[in-house]
Amino acid sequence: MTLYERLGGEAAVDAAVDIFYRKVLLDDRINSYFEGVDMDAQAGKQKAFLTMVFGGPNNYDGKAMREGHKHMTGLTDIHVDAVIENLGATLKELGVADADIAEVAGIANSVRDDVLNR
Amino acid sequence: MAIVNYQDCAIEIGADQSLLDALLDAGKDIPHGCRAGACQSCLVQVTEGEAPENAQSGLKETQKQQGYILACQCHPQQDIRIETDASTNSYRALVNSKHLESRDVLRLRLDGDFDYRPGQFVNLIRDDGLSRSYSLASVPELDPELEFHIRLHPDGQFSGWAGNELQTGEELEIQGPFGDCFYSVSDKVKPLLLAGIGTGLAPLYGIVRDALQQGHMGPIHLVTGARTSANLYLLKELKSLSSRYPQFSYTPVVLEAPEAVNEPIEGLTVGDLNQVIKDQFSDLSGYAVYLCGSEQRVNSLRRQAFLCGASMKEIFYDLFVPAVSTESA
Repeated sequence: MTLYERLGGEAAVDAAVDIFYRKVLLDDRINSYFEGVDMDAQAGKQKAFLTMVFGGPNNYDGKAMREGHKHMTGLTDIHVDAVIENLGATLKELGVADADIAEVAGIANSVRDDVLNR
Repeated sequence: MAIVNYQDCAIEIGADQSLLDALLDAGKDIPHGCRAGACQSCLVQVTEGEAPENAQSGLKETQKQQGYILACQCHPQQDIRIETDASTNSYRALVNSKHLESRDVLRLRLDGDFDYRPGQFVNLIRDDGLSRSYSLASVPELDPELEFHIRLHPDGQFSGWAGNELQTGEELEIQGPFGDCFYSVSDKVKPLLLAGIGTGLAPLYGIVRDALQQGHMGPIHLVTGARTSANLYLLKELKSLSSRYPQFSYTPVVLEAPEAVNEPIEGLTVGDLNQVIKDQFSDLSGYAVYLCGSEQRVNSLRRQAFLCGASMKEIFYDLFVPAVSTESA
């Protein structure tokens, strides 16, 4: 079974989007980056991101990831860490095993340099 | 430079011009309203050439497939041909009555018969083409007339005219209906929260009565925000609804406490609407949420409702976008 199948596929992504996005909006370390962003559009992006880090079908585009974060001034490792932490807490809440959470965090970590444009 | 072919004319579209501006500059009478891609007044159909995808945002899948676009959002790179008289349903409706509900809300009732869902909106169009979007507060199964709540803006071109000059017995053109903020809940015991600012009450009044007449049994909470109690309206109607239906409750929220109280208003709460929702509806998981009013207020209510636990897919909303004046230059 692949990671994506173990997590529960698209239904799991749908369940995770709301929880994850809510955690991000409540996290003072990063929520200022989401001020004034259209929530429906942002939820669409979160869904694509979660599908990718869950090991699901994706056309991950490092260039789009760089473009999408370029305008965010002051973005550092602390902010990426916060996102990965919220991701882990989301999965914990959904009852995902620790080993799978670590695997998801690993995939999320692999896009760090694209997000931080380095 | 792209050319738009319309009727017998070939019109050049300037580099910084939208399709709508080019058509208006050429003297074409195209209905339009918000110029922000929201009201859908300027819907036109592309019959030759490519319909730009970004001018189709918010349209129904069926409209997109037929080449419909919003002219105000369209900046064509290639030549196109358009038609305007096509599929948007339009009707003539007689003004039956006008009644001032509060110092700045006009209740307008029209004689009209077409299919719509309470909470959807239509464009009301004056004979010279001036068009504004208004939500339907009526319920077809309950009300023989179409009901609209017109907020009277001090400098409002349309509302000023509707308030001062429009007479009962005159006709208006109606285009629509549009929008997807209406009651579509299959679970009849699901709790509902409806929150509106100002005439955001209009669609919510329709949605509440639609839910009740469809036999909704779960709790239905209606909360409206206004600056002062003088800006509240429909108090009598809402009170009678809550005494008739135990599952329905209404909370008016005002920013400023009333000074002299002649008749106390039941349930009146002083405070900020967002804060009241945060305090009184701290757990909105499992709710369907309906939000109507100005863009800024609704966006902040969406965020609040979501943070209180409402699922994104269960938050329905209608943004009132102010019309951009075409007179000032």
